[in-house]
Amino acid sequence: MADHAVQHNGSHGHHGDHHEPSFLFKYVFSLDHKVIGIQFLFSGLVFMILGGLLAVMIRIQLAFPDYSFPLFGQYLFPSNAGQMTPQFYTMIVSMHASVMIFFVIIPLLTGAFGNYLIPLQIGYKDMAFPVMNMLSYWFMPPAFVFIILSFFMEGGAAAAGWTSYPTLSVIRSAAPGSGYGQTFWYLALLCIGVSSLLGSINYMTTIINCRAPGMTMFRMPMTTWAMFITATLQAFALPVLTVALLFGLLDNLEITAFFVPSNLEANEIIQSYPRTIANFFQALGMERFAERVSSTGRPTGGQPLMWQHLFWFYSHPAVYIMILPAMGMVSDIIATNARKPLFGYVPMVLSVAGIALLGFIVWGHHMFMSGMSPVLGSVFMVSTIMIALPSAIKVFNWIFTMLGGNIRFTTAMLNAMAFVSLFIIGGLSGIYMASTPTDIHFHDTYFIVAHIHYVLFGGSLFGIFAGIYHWFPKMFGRMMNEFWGKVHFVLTFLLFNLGFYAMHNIGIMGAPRRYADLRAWIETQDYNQTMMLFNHLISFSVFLLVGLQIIFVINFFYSLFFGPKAPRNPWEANTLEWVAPSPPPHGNFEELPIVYRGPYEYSHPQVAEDYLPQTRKLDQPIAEGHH
Amino acid sequence: MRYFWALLFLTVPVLGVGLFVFSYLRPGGWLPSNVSTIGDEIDFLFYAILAITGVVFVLTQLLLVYAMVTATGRTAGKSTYTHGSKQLEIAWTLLTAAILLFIAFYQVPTWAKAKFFGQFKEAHPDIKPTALVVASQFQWQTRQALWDDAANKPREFNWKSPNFRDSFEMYNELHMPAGEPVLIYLTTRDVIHSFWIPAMRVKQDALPGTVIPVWFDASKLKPTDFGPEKTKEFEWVCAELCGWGHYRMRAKVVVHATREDYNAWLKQKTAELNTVKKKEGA
Amino acid sequence: MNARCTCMLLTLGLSFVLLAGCDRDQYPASLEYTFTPYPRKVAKTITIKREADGKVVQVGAEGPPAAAPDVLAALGADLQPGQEKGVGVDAQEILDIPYERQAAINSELKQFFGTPRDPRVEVSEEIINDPEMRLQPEHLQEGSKLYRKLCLYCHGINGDGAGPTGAFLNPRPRDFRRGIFKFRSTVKINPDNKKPDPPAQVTPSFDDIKRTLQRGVPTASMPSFNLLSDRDLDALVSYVIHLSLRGMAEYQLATGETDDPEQATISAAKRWLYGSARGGPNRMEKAVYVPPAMPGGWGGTLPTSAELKESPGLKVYRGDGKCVECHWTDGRSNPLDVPTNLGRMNDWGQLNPPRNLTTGVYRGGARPVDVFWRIKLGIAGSGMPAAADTLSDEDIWHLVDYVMALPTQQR
Repeated sequence: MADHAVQHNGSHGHHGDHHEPSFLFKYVFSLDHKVIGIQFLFSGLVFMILGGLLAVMIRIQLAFPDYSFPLFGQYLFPSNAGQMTPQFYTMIVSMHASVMIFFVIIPLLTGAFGNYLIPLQIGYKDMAFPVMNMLSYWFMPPAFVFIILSFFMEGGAAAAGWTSYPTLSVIRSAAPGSGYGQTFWYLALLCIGVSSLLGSINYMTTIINCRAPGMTMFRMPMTTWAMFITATLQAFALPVLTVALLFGLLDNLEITAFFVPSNLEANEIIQSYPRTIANFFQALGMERFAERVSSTGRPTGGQPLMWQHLFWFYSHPAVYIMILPAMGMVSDIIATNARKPLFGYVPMVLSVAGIALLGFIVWGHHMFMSGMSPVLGSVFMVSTIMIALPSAIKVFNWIFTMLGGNIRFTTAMLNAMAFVSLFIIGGLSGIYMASTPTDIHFHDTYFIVAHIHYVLFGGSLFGIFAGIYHWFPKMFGRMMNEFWGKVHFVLTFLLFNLGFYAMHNIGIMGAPRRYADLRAWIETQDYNQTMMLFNHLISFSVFLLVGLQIIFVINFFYSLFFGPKAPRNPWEANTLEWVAPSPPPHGNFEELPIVYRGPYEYSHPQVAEDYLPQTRKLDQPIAEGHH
Repeated sequence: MRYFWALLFLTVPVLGVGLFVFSYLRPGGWLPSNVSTIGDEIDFLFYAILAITGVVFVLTQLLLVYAMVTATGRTAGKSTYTHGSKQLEIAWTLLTAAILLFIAFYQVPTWAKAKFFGQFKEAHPDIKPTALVVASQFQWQTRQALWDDAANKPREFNWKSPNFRDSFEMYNELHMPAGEPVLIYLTTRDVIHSFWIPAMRVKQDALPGTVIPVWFDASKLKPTDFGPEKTKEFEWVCAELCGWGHYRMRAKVVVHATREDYNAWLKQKTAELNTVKKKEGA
Repeated sequence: MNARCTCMLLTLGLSFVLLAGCDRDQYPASLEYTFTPYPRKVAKTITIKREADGKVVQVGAEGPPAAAPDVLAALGADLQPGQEKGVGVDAQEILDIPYERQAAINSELKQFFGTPRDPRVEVSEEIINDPEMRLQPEHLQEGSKLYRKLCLYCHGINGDGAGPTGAFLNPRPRDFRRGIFKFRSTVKINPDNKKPDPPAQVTPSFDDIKRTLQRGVPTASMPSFNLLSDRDLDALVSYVIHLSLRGMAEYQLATGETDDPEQATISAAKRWLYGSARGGPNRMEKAVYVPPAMPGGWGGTLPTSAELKESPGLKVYRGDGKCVECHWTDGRSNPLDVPTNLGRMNDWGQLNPPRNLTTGVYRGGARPVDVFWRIKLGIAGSGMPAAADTLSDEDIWHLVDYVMALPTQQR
């Protein structure tokens, strides 16, 4: 498709003849939302490998706590007889979560798919602010550098959990990773926050202002709706995270004491690195600053709970940021492959909005046991239980979309259906933790870890796989291999369930989180035997699960270069992105799309084919079923 | 082909129910057996939620499988054309909301009993704290009252400013009598830890800079449960990441069969405080 | 489902184990004890001078100054610009020896102390079986397995306190190798009249180490191992003694005190068990000090501030006990009041100022008898001296009473 095709899109005139940009500006510092989306995609997938490797190391330790680390033990832990040190374990647990959440799931869902699909689905040539879009990607590489460097800092990377509760994270000597490892963690997340914020503003503006003619809000596909609402979540929650991270960073550098209380018992832990920041200034030759830093200790007078409030005020909406885009994509994929309109489109949209709105008033459910007022806990409990309602509505709607459908079992559809199945489990397990009395038992146990992984892996990651299999033809102009896609799906699905379901059980038994060794000291033999049986089951399943992802990697890269060429609309779908060529050129559409109907007119009785694209003009308008 | 996929998705409810049944039947594989009064309510709530979520889980998964099995269009290769059903939406919204609201409000009294200190003090106005529990990296230090020989009862121990005349220290060990509520005050020296006794269904984070009251009991023990020294030990663990030694902060709660046994132990411990046996150095 | 799961797990487990090795829950057979440098304290006299710009610097320092800038500033607080004076400071020095000598010592000691996987102590049966040592090889092997799981990452393979986690801890994990243990109940006794001879250092008793394991060290990162069984604790204590003996022997060889490894080993064992290298079963120079009962018994209530001001303990504290010199009148040992506290080091050259007595934290144990022992016998390796002959036992009990009441006083 010619790059220089006359563009009629949008009201701001295209700046006419632009010469072909150099490689640097076409693929690296590109302003094209598609290239930026693919940049996010590749960096997200690379970090997924790192996160997966960390998970494998965690599982090796948990299944074989007495043994030295296989193969690499003597190189990684030479002075510990090849065994994983406990501080290393807390570090990889913290970094596994941090990497997966901030460097994989959020960038893939909002950065990759959001960027790629929004303009295409609303019928516009690019994002409203292309330069800001490019910047939103380029704030990521500094984060990558910081987080990778943090592993090589003295003491290792951050080891206070991905939640970084003070005072563990801000007293530099409380954990080996709470020195420069933690400092760099704060810096990395600050960069990611800026990146996400820039992206979210862009998305909201684009969706509100740049829709093609005829594309009313309620004719947008669910993917776009979900991205839109996710963007609002990001816009309102990220500033709070930024503040929390800044406060934490300043505390960690011993400049302030937002989170370090003043009546900690006299303890050398507080006083042991009194000169850290002073040394830093001395090294820079800034003696005057060095002297002003306290020499008997660090400032105090703060409140540790403050961090938890600020952090969870963002991080609870963050988990919705991580699920809503996947929900949107899955809605579209299910409708397309079931050849049926989405059941209850308006309730679906309202549910997404409801989840987002309620998502801002539930953050305290992470803090039921924290020392926060239990009366406040009751309030959060009610709002948290209510947030199960819109999620349940969505699940019912997906299932009813499938019922009576002529289902095409493509790999994307399989992954989307797996999303539904596994999200049900993740959502239901949430109720145990939402109920405060049962949370007394389940807080900070493996039950929570099971819940997390069912919603994030079972939910978001299967959603990402579904999205990749579905939109790969559009993105790269080639088809992925269906057979190997299905093999990948079957193995991932089975091994995931085998691996993570048992975490519910060990949580019920009382296995605490972040423990390097789950065996009890005074419990009976039965407990330890059962615990280790489950641990072995989980670990071996995870080893195979992570290892077999190679099938996906090979399929992805092979298809990228050698896959069969993809037609414009391989899935016979209705939405606007399938009108553009595969892959779309700069500017997306050859001519301005005009929208005549909603996105889910599948199997309309008055239409010959079982699909009816949004842009297809009919001689006789047909009655759309009401939503 | 759709049967293959339906079967694959059927593994989810089968595995789900199967693992739970296996775990329940296997010794040591289920909830730690409860010994406290609040635990009865909490466990009941757990089973209620398990029943509700279990049924919903199985039903929805089976419905999903059913959708796959019947995945052929009704008319000439096309699917049923419908955009939804207002009645159905309203029905399942109301039903789900009702169930959820019921779960939410049913449990508030239990939560209050477990955590509202005002309510606890009203119910037990004369209770004295049994211990001050101080968490640190990486051990628990408990201060319990000394025995007062003159008054023939434990001393009144000043948990705000404990001292060597009214209390003594132990490490990774907490003693308490069975059959009555026990109040402790919880604090930490350095980072956030969490006090968790699984068998007594009590968990509370220890927050730096604060002292938090925690109460629990071991009232559901029978005389045959106790060992030769009329004690029974329970696991007590740290439930908030506190550093590399987090997994090492396991401790034990020693429950004495009766208040008299507990007093006798206190008396003995107080007497031991200053005796030094030549060989063992007690 | 269960049988198939187990079969699958067994096959996978077997393959994993084959990949990993069958006995990787012990030290590798090829691992040996090796020499690592000994950090220790030296007392130095340096000259400090206040410069014209107000900073206090060391005069004539080759290389980095002997003490940190804040220590120098505190020591020279009373200097006028241009004035100088001589002061004593603690400094850390690292004892290191040439590589060839290290290798020689390692192989010499291997026949007397074995390897981490196969530890033993080649001394007489009498010493090995003594209940204060319990160095039987089976016992030591149990200890070795436990040590590798529970202690290694802080205390290091040879007990030097330089395990991978140890570098990030303050205070550092104990270096066992010189036989110096802080919290003891043992005292040197004069072999002729069996009277206690406190100032001289002596090794701890078996139970002292066991108590430290059970108690942990509050406010240091040493956890409490109270939940281990008695048998496990005994095994660990024996293993620690084994590491300590090896260190003591190695230290003698490294410093050139002796060239004969066998002699070094035997003298280390004798010093541990009998209190000195010339000791024997009939010539005990080490015993547990059992204090007399406290005069007046231990009952009673906490003294009020007024009562405390009149207490005999206060008189001892400010008088014969000389406690004020380091701990100051309020017990807080604040360097602003006692400038010399700032740079004080323990025998390993680590900063170890006199303890703030108002915190209520007693690292060696919070029983009154524990505090009695700290005062009477001193804290080996640190600047806390033994009360020697200056204080009677009764005086020390009064002092204990006073010191333990300090944390509860209003500031």
